[in-house]
Amino acid sequence: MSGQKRQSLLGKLISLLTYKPVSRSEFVLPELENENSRRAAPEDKSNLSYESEDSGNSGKEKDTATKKPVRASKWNRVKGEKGHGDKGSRPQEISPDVDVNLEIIKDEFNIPTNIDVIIREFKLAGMVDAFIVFIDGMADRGVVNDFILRQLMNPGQFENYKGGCVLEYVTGNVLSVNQAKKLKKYEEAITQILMGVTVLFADRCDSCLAIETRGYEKRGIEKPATEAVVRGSQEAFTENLKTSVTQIRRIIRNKDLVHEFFLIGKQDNSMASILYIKGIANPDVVKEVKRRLASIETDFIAGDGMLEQFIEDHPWMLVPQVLTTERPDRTAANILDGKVAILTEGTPFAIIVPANFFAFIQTPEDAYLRWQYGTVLRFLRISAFFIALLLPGIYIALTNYHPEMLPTDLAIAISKSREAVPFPSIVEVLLMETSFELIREAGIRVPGLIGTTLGIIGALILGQAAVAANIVSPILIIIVAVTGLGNFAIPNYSLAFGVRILRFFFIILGGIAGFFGISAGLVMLVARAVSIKSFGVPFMAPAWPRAGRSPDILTRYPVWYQEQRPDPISPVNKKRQPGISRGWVKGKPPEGKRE
Amino acid sequence: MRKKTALLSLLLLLLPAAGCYDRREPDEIAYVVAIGLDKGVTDRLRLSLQIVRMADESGARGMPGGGGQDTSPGDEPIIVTLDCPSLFTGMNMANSSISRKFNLMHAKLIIFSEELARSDDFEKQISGLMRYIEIRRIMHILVTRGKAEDFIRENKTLIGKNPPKTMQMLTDSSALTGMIPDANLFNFYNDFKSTFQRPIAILAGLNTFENLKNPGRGEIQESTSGGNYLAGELPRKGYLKRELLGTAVFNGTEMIGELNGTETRALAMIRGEFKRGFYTIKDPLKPDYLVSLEVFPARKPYVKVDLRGETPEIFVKIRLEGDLLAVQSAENYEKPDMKPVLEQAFESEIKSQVDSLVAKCQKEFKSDIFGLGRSVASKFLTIEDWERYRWHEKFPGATVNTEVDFIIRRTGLILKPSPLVTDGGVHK
Amino acid sequence: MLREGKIGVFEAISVITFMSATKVLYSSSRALVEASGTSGWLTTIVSGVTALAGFYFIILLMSRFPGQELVSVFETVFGRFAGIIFSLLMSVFFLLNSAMFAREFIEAVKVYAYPLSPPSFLLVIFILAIITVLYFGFECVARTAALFAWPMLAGLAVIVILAVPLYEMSNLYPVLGHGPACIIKTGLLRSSVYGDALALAVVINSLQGSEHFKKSGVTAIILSTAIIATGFLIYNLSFPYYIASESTIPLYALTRSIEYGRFFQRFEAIFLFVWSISGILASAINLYFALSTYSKVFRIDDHRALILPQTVIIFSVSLIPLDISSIAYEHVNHIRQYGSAIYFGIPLLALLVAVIRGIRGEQAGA
Repeated sequence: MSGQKRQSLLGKLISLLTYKPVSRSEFVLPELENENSRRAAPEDKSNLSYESEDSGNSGKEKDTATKKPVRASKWNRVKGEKGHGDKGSRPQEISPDVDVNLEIIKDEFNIPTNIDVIIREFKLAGMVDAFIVFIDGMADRGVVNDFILRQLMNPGQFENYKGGCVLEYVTGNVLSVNQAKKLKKYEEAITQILMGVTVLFADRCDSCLAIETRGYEKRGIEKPATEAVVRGSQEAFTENLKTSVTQIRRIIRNKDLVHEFFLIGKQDNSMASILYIKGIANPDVVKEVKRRLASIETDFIAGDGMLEQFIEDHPWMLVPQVLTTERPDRTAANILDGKVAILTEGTPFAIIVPANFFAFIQTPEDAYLRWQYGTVLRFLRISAFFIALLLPGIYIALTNYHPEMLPTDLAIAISKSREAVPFPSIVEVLLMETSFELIREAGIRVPGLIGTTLGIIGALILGQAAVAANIVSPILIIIVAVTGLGNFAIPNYSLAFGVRILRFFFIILGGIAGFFGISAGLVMLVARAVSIKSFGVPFMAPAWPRAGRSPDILTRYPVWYQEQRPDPISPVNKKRQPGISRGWVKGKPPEGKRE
Repeated sequence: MRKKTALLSLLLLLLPAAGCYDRREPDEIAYVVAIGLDKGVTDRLRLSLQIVRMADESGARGMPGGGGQDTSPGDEPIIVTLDCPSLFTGMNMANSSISRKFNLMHAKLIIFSEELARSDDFEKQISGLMRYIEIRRIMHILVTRGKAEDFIRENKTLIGKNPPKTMQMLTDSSALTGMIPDANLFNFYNDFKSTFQRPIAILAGLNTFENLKNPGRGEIQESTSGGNYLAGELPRKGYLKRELLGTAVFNGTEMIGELNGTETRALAMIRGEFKRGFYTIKDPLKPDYLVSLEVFPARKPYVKVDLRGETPEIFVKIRLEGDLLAVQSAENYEKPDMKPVLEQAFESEIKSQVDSLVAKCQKEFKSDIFGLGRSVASKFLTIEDWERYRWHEKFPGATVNTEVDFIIRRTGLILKPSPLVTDGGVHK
Repeated sequence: MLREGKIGVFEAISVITFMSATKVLYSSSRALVEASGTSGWLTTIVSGVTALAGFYFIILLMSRFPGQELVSVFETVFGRFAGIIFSLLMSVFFLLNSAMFAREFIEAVKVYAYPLSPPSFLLVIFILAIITVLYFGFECVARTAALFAWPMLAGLAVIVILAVPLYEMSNLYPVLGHGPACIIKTGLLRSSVYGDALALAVVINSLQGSEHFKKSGVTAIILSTAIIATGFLIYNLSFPYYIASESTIPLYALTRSIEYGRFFQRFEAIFLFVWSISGILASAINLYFALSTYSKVFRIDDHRALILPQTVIIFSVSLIPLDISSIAYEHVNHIRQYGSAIYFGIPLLALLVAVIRGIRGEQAGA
C-alpha cells in the first residue's frame, strides 16, 4: 500500500518532470483531389461521402499516389459525361410503380438521414398503395391530416371509382383542397415538395399530385422599418413572397395585373416574381426583365439585394440603378406608372425597374400630402443631396485656396479657431469624416438599449473633447455634422451610400485644386451620370434628355394636374386622367346652395 | 486587369502628389486690415500695415465662454512700418519679421497721408496699385491730415473685439450722416482717369482732444450746421483719437483741397449720393431758436444741361424730403400754412451751402467732383466728340444754377406742440 | 460610322451656346471693349446679325443636301481630295479653338485665383474632365451641356442682378462709342464669335430633322448674342469707357466689385464656378467637334481611340504661347478676325460651287 503510494508520489514527481508528447486530435480540412483545376464541375464530390468514418465507407483516398495531370479539355469532357450520369440514372418521368417512386424519392431527399422530409405510406381507399411526401414544418399538418389523409383513407369516398389512374378520380371527387395539380416529372415534384406542397404518389399512376398545403411560420405584416411616413399606409412587405404579392393585389385590383414567377438559383431555388400591368407597361421592358432574370445562373440568391446586383446595367457605378422599396403602396404606384416590380422570397423589399435619379429623391409621403408640402420637401432633399456631397469639399477649397471669398469676419473666425490645431485642414477633415463613418457603422451594431444614448453621448462628448483638446476646430464639427445630416435626409439608402463615398472624391479634389477642382469633379460626375441607362431608360431622364413635361419630377404639381404617365419609360397607355379630372369645377353647386 | 488598375491608380495618385500649389492654411496668413502710405525718408514710400491679431482670448474654444475674458481695451493693433520702394517690395521686406504671409485680400482701408497725396508721387502710387490680385476695389480710400502711420496706430477697436468689422463700419457713417463721402477704390480709380469728373477721398485725421475748450476759452459760432470742421478739428473729447470728417478733393494727378463736413453733405446731395442726415437750422420766426430736421433724398437730383452758348449752362435741382426732429420754439410748423415757411428756410440754407461749394470747386479747385460731366456727356454721340470738348477745361467757366426742393413729410410724435407758457400763465 | 445618337433641340442649343457665349467670360471681351468703347453691346449685336446672315447660307447649303452632314457635303461638292482639305481645316480650327479656350482659361484662373500653380497642373485636371465628358459619346456631351445650361444662366443672371448698385446710366455716354462706322466695322470683323453654329452642321444627323437644325441654330445664335450683349452691357454700365479696356477679364473685375455691406461681399465664388464649368464644357465641345469631323473624314468608327492623342495635342498646343500677352494680343485676335473666313467663308464657298456646278443631294427617301 505504501509502496504503491510512494510509487505514485514518485511517479507523479517523475511525470511532472518528464516530457510527454501531447496527443492531439485536431480537425483538418484536406484539399479535394484535383481542386486546383478551376474548371472542375462543382458537383463532383464522388470521392467524398457525407457519412462519418465508422459507417464503413472507404474515404481517405487522398494519400494515394499523385495522379498525373489531365489535359483540361479532356477533363471537362469526362466530367460532363459523368456529371449528367448521376441524373441520367434516374428517369425523368414518374413511373407507375409506387415502390420505384418511393425508392427514388428516398434517394433524392437523403431519407432517412434527412429527418425533415416525411413519407407517409398508406392505402388509398384501402386498396391502392400510395404515399405522400412533405416537409415537416413547411406543410400545414392540419391540412395534411384533415383534408388529405382523412379523405383519402376513407373508403366511402371511393365508391364510384372504376379503375384507371386513381389520381384523376381523387382530384375530381375526393380531395376538397383548393389547389391540386398533376405533375409528370420528378424534378417538378421535388421542387414543389421543397416549397411546402404535399405530393401524392399512387400505384399504377404515371403522374403525381401536388396538393397545396403550405403553412409555415412567418413574420406578420409590420410597419416599414426604413421608409416611415406620417400620413400614409403603415404596411410593409414581409419575407414571404405570397404575402407580398397579395398586398399588392389588394391595392391594385386590376385584372391586367400580371404576376409571373421565376425560380433562380441552382442550389436554393430562390423564388422571384415580377409584376406589371399588361397594357400599360412597355412590353420591351418586360421582355428585357424576363430575359435578364431567366439568364441568371448562380448558386444562391439571398434576396433582393443580390438580385439587383445581377440584373443592373452598370455594376461598377456608385449609384444604384433600380429603386428598392419596402412599401406596397409605393410599389403599386410605380406599377401603375408602367414600371415592372420584382419581388423575391426572403427579403421584404421590392425592386422597381426602370428607375431614374429623381425617383431616389421622392418619398411616398409626397403623394399623400398636398402638393406644396411635397414640393418644398423635395427641394430640401435635393439641397441635402448637394450638401452631403459637396460641403466638406467646399469647406476645404474655401479655406485653403480662396480665403478671399469668405466674408472677413468668417475668415478670421476660422483662422482663429484653427490656431491651436496641429493638423492641416485636409487631414483634419479626413480624420473627422472617417470617425463619423466609424460612429455610423458602430451605431448599427450597438445593442438596442444603449444604442441611442451612446450615439448622442458619443457624438457630443467626442466632439466636445476633440475640440477642447485642440485636435479639431469647432467649425469642422459643425461641417461634419451637417454633412451627416444631409446624408440621412436622402430617402434612398443606396444613393446615400453612393454619396458618402463620392464626398471623399470631392474632398480630395477640393484639397488639391480648390473650386476649380470641384468644378472639374462635378463635370466628370455629371458626364458619367447622364450616360448611364437603367433598363434602356437614361438615368437622368426626364430632365436630361428632355422627355415630356413630367408633372412630378422635382416640383410636384397638384394631383389633378398629373395627366400623363412618365414619358421616359414609354408606357403603352400614356393618359392617366383627362384634362379636367375634378368634374365638380366645371359645373355649379345645386340651386339654393350657391354663394 | 489588375495591372491596368494598379497602373491607373498610380497615375491618378500622382495628381494629388503634384498638387496643392496654392494651398495656404488659413493660419498661415496674416490678414492686413489697413494699409498706410506715407512719403518715405530713406526710400520712396513709408508703408504701414495693420494686421489682425490671431491669438484668441481664452474661452472661445470648446466650452461656451462666459463673460470675464481679459478686459484690456481692445486688441492693440499690430502695426509694421518700414521704408521701401513700393508696396509689394515692402510686403516682402516686412516678411522678414512676421512669420506669416501678408495677405491684402481683406484689407478694408487704404490710407494716404496728405503730404503724399499732394505730391506728384500720388499718381504713381495709384496707377501702380490696381494690377495686383489682392487689392480689391471695395477698399475705402482715406487721406489723413498728418501721418498715415500715426493714424493707423490710433486705429483701435474699443467697443467690440473685431478689427475688420470696425474698419468696415467706420466708413459706413457716410450713409448715416453724409459727412464723409462714400469713396472706395472702385470709384476713386474710375474717376482718377475719368473724362467726366474728378475723384474724391475720405478725409481723416487725429483729434488731439484739445479742441474741446474749457469754459471761457471760446465762443459760440454763428453757423448751425455743425459740420464746419475738417477731420481732427472737431471739439470733442473721449473715445479714440481717429476722426473721419470731410472730403479730400483731387484733380487728375494729386490732391488739391479739402472740404469740411457741411460741404461734403452738399456735395453728396448734388452727386445724388446723400442718404440721410440730421440738420439744424435757425428757426425762421424766432432766430434764437433752432429747428432740427432729418433729411433724406426724395429723388435723384435733376440735371439739365444746355450747351448752346459759349459756356455750358447747367441747372441742378436737388429734391429732398424730411422729418421734423425738434422744434425748440414750439411753433406750430405742422400747420399747412406754416410748413412752407420752414421749408423755405431750409431750402435757402441748403442752396447757399451748395452754391458756395460749387463756387469753391470752380474757382479754387477747378475740379468737377459733382459728376456734372456725366450729364454733359449725354449730349454727345461719339467718344471722339466728347473728348474734343474737353470738359475739365470748360468746367470752371460753366454757369451752374441750383434749386433746392424740400418737403417735410412727417413730424415725429408730436403733431401740434403746445406753446411755451410765460410766468403770467398766458400763452405766448 | 460614328455612333452619335439623337439629341433634341434644347440640347443642341445648349451645346452651341456654351461654345459661343463662354467667350464673354474671357479676355477677348476686353479687346472688344477697347475697340468699341461704350458701344460694346451694339457691336456684338451687329456681329450676331452678321452671323445670322452667314448661318442662313449654311442652312441653304445643308438643305441642298438633305440627310448628309457637313463633311460629306464638302466631299460631294469639292470632290474627295479638296473636300478632305476643307474638312481637315475645320477640324484643325475647332482644335485650335479648344486649345485657346483651355489656355485662356488657365491663364485667367492663374491670375485671379491660383497664382502659384503651374499651368500644366491645372491643365491636367482640365483635360481629365474633358476626357471624361468626351469618352461617353456625343449624347453625353449634349446632355451634360443641357444639364449645366440652366445653372450657368442662373449664375449669370444672379451676377447681373447683384451688380445693380454699380450701374450708372451715364457710363454708357457717349452712346455710340467711337462712331457708327467703327461699330459696324468691328462687328463685321468679329462675327466669328457666333460662328460656332456651323458645328451643328457636322452632327446634323443627330438632330431630328432639318427643321430642328434651323430652329436650334438660329435660337442658339440669338441666345448667345443676348448673353454676350448683356455681359457687355452690364460691364459698360459699371465701368466707364476709359477704365473698361483695362481689366484682363472684365466680368471678373465686375464681380469682384460687388458689395452689399459687411456680409454680402464676395460673390466671385459664383463666378468661379460658372467660369470653370463653362470653360471645361466649351473646350470639350470644341474638341468633340474636332474629333467628329476628323473621324468622319477618315471613316473612323469609334472616336474614343482618338481622344487620348487629341488631348495630348491640345495640351501641347495650349502651352505653346509663352505668356498671356501673346495670347490676348496675337492669337485670340487672329482667331477672332480670321475665324469668320473659316466659319462662314468655307460653307459660302461650298454653296457657290454647288450652285455653279449644279450639284444637289439626293432627296430624302430616294
